[in-house]
Amino acid sequence: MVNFTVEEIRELMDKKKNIRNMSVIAHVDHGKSTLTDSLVSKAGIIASSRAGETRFTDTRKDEQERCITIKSTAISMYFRLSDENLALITNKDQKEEGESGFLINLIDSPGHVDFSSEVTAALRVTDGALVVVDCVSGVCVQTETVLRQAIAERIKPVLFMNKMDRALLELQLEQEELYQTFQRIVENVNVIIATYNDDTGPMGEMRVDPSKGSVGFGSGLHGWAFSVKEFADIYASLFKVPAQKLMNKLWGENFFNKKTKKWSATKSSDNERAFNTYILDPIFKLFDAIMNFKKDETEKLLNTLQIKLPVEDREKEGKPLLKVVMRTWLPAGDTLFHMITIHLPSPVTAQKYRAEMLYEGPSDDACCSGIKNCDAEAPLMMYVSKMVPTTDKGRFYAFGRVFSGKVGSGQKVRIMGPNYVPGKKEDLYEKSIQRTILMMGRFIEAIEDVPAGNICGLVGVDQYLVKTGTITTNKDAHNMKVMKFSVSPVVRVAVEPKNPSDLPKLVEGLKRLSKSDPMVQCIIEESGEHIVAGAGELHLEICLKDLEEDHACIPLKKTDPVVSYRETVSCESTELCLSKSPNKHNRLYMKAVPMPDGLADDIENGKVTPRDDPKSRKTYLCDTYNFDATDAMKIWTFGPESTGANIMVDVTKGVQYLNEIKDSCVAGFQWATKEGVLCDENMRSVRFNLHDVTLHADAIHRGGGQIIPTTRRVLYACVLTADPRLQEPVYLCEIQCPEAAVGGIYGVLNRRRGVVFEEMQVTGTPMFIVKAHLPVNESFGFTADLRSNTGGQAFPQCVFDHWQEMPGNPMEPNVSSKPYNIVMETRKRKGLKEGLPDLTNYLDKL
Amino acid sequence: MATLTNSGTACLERTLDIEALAKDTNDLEVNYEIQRCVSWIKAGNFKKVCLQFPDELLVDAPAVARILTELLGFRVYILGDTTYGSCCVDEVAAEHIGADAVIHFGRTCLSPSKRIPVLYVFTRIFVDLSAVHSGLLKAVDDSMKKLIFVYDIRCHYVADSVVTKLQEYFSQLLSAELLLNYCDTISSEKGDSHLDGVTTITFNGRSVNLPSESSIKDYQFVYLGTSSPTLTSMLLRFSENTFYCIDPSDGSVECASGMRTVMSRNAKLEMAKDADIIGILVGTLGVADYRDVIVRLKHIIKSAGKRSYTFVVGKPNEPKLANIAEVDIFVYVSCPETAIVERLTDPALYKKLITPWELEVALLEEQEWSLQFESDFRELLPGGVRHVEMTSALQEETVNVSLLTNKTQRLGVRYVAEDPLDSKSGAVVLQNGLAIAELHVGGGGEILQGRTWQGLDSSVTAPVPVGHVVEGRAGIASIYVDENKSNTS
Repeated sequence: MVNFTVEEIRELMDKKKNIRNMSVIAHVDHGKSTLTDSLVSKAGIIASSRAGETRFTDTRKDEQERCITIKSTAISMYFRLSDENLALITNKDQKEEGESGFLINLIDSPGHVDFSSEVTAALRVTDGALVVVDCVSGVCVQTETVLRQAIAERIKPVLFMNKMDRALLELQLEQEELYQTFQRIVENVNVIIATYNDDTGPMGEMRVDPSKGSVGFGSGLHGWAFSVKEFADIYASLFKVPAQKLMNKLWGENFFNKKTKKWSATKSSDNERAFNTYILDPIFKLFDAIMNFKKDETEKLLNTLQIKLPVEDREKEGKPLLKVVMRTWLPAGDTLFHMITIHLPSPVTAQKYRAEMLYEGPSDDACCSGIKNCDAEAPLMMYVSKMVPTTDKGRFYAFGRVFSGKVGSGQKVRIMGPNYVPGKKEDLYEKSIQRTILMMGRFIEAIEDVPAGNICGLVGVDQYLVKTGTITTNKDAHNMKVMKFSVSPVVRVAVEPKNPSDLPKLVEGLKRLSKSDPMVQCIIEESGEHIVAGAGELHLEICLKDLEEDHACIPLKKTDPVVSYRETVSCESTELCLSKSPNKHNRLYMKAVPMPDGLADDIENGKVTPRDDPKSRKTYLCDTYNFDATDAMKIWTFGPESTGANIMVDVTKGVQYLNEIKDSCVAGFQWATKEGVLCDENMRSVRFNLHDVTLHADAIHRGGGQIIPTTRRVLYACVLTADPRLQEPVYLCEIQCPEAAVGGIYGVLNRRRGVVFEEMQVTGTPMFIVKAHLPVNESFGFTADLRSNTGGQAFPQCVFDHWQEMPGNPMEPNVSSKPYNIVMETRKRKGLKEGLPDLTNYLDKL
Repeated sequence: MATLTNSGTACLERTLDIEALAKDTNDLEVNYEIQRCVSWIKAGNFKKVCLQFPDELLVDAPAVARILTELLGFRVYILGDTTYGSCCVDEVAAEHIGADAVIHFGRTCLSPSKRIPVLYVFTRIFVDLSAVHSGLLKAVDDSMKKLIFVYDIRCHYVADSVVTKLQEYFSQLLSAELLLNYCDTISSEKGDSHLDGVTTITFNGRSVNLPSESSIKDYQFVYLGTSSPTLTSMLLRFSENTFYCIDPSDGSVECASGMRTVMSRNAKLEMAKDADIIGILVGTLGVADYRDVIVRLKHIIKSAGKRSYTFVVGKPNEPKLANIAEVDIFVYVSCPETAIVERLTDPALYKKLITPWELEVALLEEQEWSLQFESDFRELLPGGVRHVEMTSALQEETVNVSLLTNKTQRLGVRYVAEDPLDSKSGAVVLQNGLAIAELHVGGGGEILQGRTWQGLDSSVTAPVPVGHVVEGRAGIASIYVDENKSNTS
C-alpha cells in the first residue's frame, strides 16, 4: 500500500526546505530505472519483492518490452527521516525545524544518448542528481555527458555504484580489486566534476566523497545498497565511536591492524584496508555462504548481523535467499533516501544560486527575487520543461517546476512561449489553468495548488505552448531561459500516409508528435514532404512508432533516413557579381566570402547573435576573427530566420538611399539563405559583402518588388562564382569495446568514411574507448554493423558534433562526385527543376 | 507557362517563324472559322466586335481582322496582351471601346462570363488520327477498361471522330461534352447532378454522364492534346485517376497523375494557417461571380482572426507581388486554369499563391480537404458542389503548432478578456510630441515600426548642404550612354 496520502504531500509542499527535487541520470543500461524501484517500493507504491523487476517508472509498453527508458518519468514520494539522521543535516536551509517528513520529487531519465533531451528537460526542474554508474563497466561516455549537463545547470550530484552483485557473482573480484574499482570510478567522476565546475563558484565544491556518504554502493536489481555512513552507524554503536569519525576511516588509505589495534596510512603485511575489513568482508562472507549453500554459516552470519528474515523467506536458498537477506540487511531505499536528503540541496538552497542561470530578466525584479528566495508569496514563475501525453488523445500535461509563487486550479496566468518578448504580444496567452496535478509515475493525482519549489503538471495550457515555456502572473516577467540541448535533430525521414486521403490525419498526428517530445522536429517542407527529424536512428524509430500508433493512427509509408545538408562557399567570388532589378533601373554588386573558421559555430552556439550589443560584438569579431572595425559595425543581418550562420555586410562607400532598400535586401537575404541555390538547402557560413548599388532616383522604382528578387539573384550568383560546397553533419562517435574488437571497429569506420581521432584504454579495465568522426549520412545501420563485426562487443554512442565540408565542387557534373549526386538527388526529391542551376540566370552583364 | 515570373524578355528574344506568317487564306478560313464568325456577328447584329487573340496567335491577327473587315463591311478590333490569363475573355478591354461582342480565338478555359456575348473559336492543332488510335491501343490493352475521353479544346474539330473510332474498341469509353452555353446553364443547374441514376460530373467547362452504379474512381482518363493548364487543372481535380495523355501529332502516350502535386500543395495550407496577413489577389475581372467569392473570402479570413487586403495589380507578376512584402500568402481569385501556380513553373515568387478552395480548407473548419482539388472558385459559392455554410461569424481562438516554423499557430479571433492581468484602463498616458502612444496590435503601424526605413522624418532639421546640380546619366536603364562608351573602350 502507498504509505502516504496526497494531503500529506500537499502539506509538505509548503515546507520547502524538506523538499528534494532530483533526477536519476546515467549511461544507458547502468540501472537507473531498476534502482529507482527501490525508492518506489520504500514509498509502498510497489511491493518490495518486486522492486528491481517492475521498473515502475518505465510507463510505456515499449519501454517495458525493450528494457530501455525512453521518456523521463516523474514521481513524488513522501518519507520520514529518523531523528539521528535528521541531526546530520546541519544547514538550516535544508530542513524545517520540527518536521521529519521529506518530499522527494524524483525523475527517472533515459540513458540512451538519443533521448538526452529528456535528461535535459528533467535536469532543468530538479536541483540534485543521482548519478548511477555500473561498477563493472565504469564511467561511460553518457555518464560524462549527463554529468556535464547537470553541472552546467547547477545541479548537485551524488554517486551510486550499481550492479555490485555482478562484480561479486560474475566477475568474482577480490576485495581489494573491488575497492580499487570503486576508487577509480570515484576519481573519474570527480575529474569530470572538476573539469566543468568552478570550485570557487556559487555552488562551491561539488566532488563526491565516499567518506562523507555522498557515494552509494549496491545492487538495484537485488534491492540493497549502502554508503559508508550505513556501516559507520552500525559500527559506531558497536565500538562506541562517533559515526562521523568512523566514516573518515572507512574509506581511503586507512589500514587497520587487528592485533595491535592501530591505524596506519600505508598498507603493510599485517594490516587491512578498513573498507575491506569492515564493509566488504561481511558482504563477501554472506555471498560466499549463501551462494555455496553453507547453511550453518549462513545461520551464524545472519545472527551476528542481526538480520531477521520474514517467515516465508526462510526456506529460500541460493540467489533468492541472497536477495532477501541483502535487502533486509541493507535496504536500498533507506540508503538512497539518506543520501538524497542529506547530500542533495533543497529548493531553498538551490534556487539561491540557480536563479541567475534560470531567468532572462534583470536580477533585481520581483520575479527573480521570488525565484532566489523560493518565495511562495511572490509572483508565480513556473517553467514548463516538457509535455506528457494524457489518456485524452492529443492533449498533454504541461510538466514543470514552480520556482516562485503558487500555481493552482482555476488561476489566471500568462503563458509565454520561447519567442515572447516583454511588452509584445507574440507568443503570449492569458488563460486559466484548468487543473494542477501531481505526477506519480503512471498515475496522476489532482491537487488544489502547488507552491514554489515543487514539480507538477498543468492541465489546459498545453495548446498554447509548443514544447516549453514560462507560466507567470506578473505582467513584467521575462522568460525563463530556454534549455540547451546536447543533441540536435539531424536524422530525417519523410513520411506519407499509405492511403493518400489520410493526409489531414497525418498532419494532425505530426502536430501532436512534435509536442510530445522535446527534441523531435516535424516539418512540412515546401516540396510537400512531411519530415520527422530526430537525434538518431533509435529516437526516430520511437517517434515514428508513436506517430503511427498513437498520434496519427493511420498506416504510414516511410522513406529511408536522410540528412539535411548546408550550402556554403570555399573562396571569395571570382568576380564582383551584378544583378539588375526587373526594371533594370537598380543594380546590386555583391561578393560572397567564406566566414572565418569557427564564426559559424559561434553564431549557432549563441556566442555571436543579432541581439548582441553592436559595440561588444564588434570588439569580439575584431579580436577573434580579424574583422575590419567598420565592417563589423555594418552587419545588416543574420540569416536564415534572422539568426542563422550567414551574414550580410554593407561595405559600400557613400551610397544614396541605401537605408531605404535595407529592409528589402534583408528580406531577399533571408529568402536566399533559407533556400540555397544548389538544392534549396539552408546556406551556412557565408558572408555576403554588398559592395555597391545603383538605385533609381524615384522611390517607387526601387521598392521591394524590384530589390527583393534582385537580392536573391545576386546572392545566388555570388555563391555560384565562389566555388560552392556542401556541408554535411558529422557525428562524434564514441565506441566502447574490448581490445580485441578494436580492429573490427576500424574496418567498419573506414567503410563509412569515419575518421578515428582518439583511441585510449580505460585505466584499470580491458576496455578501450575509440573516438571518431562519422558522417551522419553513413551512420544508418552503423550500430548493427558494428555489433556484427565485433561479435556484439562494441557499443557506439553518436552525438551530432559539427558540419563538415564535403570535398568537391557540386557544380562539376561528374557522376562519381558525391556532392554532385547529392545536389541532383535533393533537387529531384524536392521537385525542383532538374539539372544544375545556371549562373546566367542570376548574373547580369553591364 | 510561367505567367507570373515571365519578365517579358522571352517575348523580346523570341525568333519568329517567317514561314508561319505566309499562310494562305484558306488555312485561316479553316483555322479561324471565318464563316462561322461572320454568320454569328450577323445573326447577333453586332456592330462593334473585338477579336481576342492569345500571344501565340497574334501573328495571324491582322490577316484575320482584314478578312473579317472585308466580309462584314465594318472595322473589327484586335485585343492582344490579355490582362489576365489569355484563356479568359478580356471583357474589360472590350468595354474600353464599347464593344458589343467578343470573338475569342484559341485555347479557352470556358469560364463563364456574364457581360458580353462571346463566340469561342477554338482554332485547330494537327491531329494524326491513326497514330492517336494505335498509340492508345498500345498503351491500354484492356478493352473493358472504363475510360473518359477529354481533349485539348483545339482538338475539338476531330473529337467526335476520335471518340467514334475509339469506342469501336473501348466499349466503356465515355466522352466529356463541352458546355458551350455554360454561362447560361450554370445558374440553373450547377455541379454534379443525379438524374435517373445517371451522375453528371461537371469540370472545366465540360461534363460527363456516368452510367448508374459506377463512380468516378473506377474510371481513367484519356487526354488528347499537349500539356496545358487545362490538363494540370484536370489532373488535380481527378488526382486519384490516371490520365493517358496522347500527343496529337504522333500518338505517343504518357501516363500522368496529379496525386503528387495535390499532396505537395499541403504545405501551402499550413502557410495559410500561419499567415497573419492574407492578400486576395484579383486575377480576373471577367469570370462570373468573382466579386461574390472575394466577399466570401474576406469574411472567412476575418473570422479566422487574420487580416486581408485585396489587390488588383493588373497582370500579376513577380515584382508587383514582391512590392507587397508584408503579405504572408496570396489567395488567387482567377479562372480554374490560371489559379494553379506551381513552384516548378514560377520558382521566383517571393510569397506563395493558393486557390480560394485551399484557403477555405485551411481556415474553415467545415471545409474538408480531399484529393479532389478544386480550382474553380465558383464551386465554393452557394449552389456549388463544394459550398459549405459558415456556421459562426467569428471562430473562437485555437492555438496549435505550426509545422513550418515549429512555433505556435493561431487561428480564430481572440476574445479580449474582461479583466486582463495588465489592465490599466482609465490611466492617462503622457505623450511627448506627436508620437502615437499605443500602436494597434497587429496593425500596419506595427509593421512600419519594424522597418528600419520609415520614410523621411520631419522632426530632423539638421541642414544638409545643398550641392550643385550636376548633369546625370543619359540613355536607357539597361545600358546608359556612358556605360556604352566604357564597354567599347
